[in-house]
Amino acid sequence: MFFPITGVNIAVWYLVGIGFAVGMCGGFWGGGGGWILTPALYAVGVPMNIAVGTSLAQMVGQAIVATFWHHRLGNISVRVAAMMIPGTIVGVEIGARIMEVLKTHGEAHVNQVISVLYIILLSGLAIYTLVESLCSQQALARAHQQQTDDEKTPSNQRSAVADRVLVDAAHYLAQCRIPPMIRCPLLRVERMSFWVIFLAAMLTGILAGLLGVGGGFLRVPTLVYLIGCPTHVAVGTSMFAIIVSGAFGAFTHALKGNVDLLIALCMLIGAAIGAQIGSFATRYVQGTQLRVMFGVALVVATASIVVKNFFNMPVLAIMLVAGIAGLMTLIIITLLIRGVAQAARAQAEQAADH
Amino acid sequence: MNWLATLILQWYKTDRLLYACVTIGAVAVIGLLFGILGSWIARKLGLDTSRLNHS
Repeated sequence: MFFPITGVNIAVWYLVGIGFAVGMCGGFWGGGGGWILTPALYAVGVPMNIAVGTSLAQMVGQAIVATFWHHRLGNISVRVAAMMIPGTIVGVEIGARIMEVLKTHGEAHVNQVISVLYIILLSGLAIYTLVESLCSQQALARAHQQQTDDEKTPSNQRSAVADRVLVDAAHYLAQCRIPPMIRCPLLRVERMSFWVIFLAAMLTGILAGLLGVGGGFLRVPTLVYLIGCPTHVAVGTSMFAIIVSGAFGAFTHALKGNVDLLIALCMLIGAAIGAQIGSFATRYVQGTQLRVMFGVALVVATASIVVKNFFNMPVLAIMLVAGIAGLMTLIIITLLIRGVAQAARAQAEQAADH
Repeated sequence: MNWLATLILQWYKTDRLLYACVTIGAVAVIGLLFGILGSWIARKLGLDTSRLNHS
């Protein structure tokens, strides 16, 4: 199908399929999925600035659907999400304005700069995710094998160091006493400066406005480590915050001509279905089970940008993005079916006991 | 589908504010519709969507 705003031909099934995969991963991990959506659009010839704006637009609908489910599951802290709104809006506007400055130098310049930023961000995140999850798994395996052995193994020490750095950083930021101070007893937050949350939200907002990502990969760890949210609440709250960052980002980018509504609508049809399955999956599948997979997906998304941008091989880029999106979808669905079956078995056994 | 593409392209070229409002409105309405539809289907299928215990 020909999309006149962007001026490219894209198969509708590709957009719906990518939307479905992105929706499922977004609903499951609490992000908008822009980190795979923008490279997927860029791979089929959509200019980077329109890929960014369009990703944000479809993210709004996807986040609304996912929020519905997370609200039913009790995964949303409206108070924390509301406190993130001002910082998010400021950040998104800064990101969108940086994009406008880049556009004055021409489309090729935008593609180049945003691609390089994506490569840096995704590869950094991939390295962190892979190292952290592999260390955690090693530590868990050691703990199982040597339950009675008190001596710490090198892998335990590495994991402890990684955790220590995050906890120390969170503790340091929590010491900030600039008023207004907020409290949220439900989330075990006694007293915290509003400005800490504002800064974290602004940073994710800048990423949303400039790169078209929901920022869930940054917001969820922030909520978990900094505010002390349980992981499921962090995921739900992040989805709620994405409605705001996505809506403001899509609006400001649409005003600047960076959104192709038809592409966004095609992807949203798939994403709206995928987001519901992904959100529902959080009830039965532990996110930690898929952390390595998330890291690998980030590496592949980075590789697709490198292949498209520096080697001019769009077909390979499309295959990489579509392949990893499909694989992640398949794994989440398989784990969900297994989880539902296990829960049903447990329920039947319980009923038989009574 | 062509008439929709033409209409959207016209808004895109002539009135960006209207285009931006339509963009947000369209994605929000579709999101809401799918959300409501999904909840209804889940209820019909008898899926357990009760609140989780986060403690």
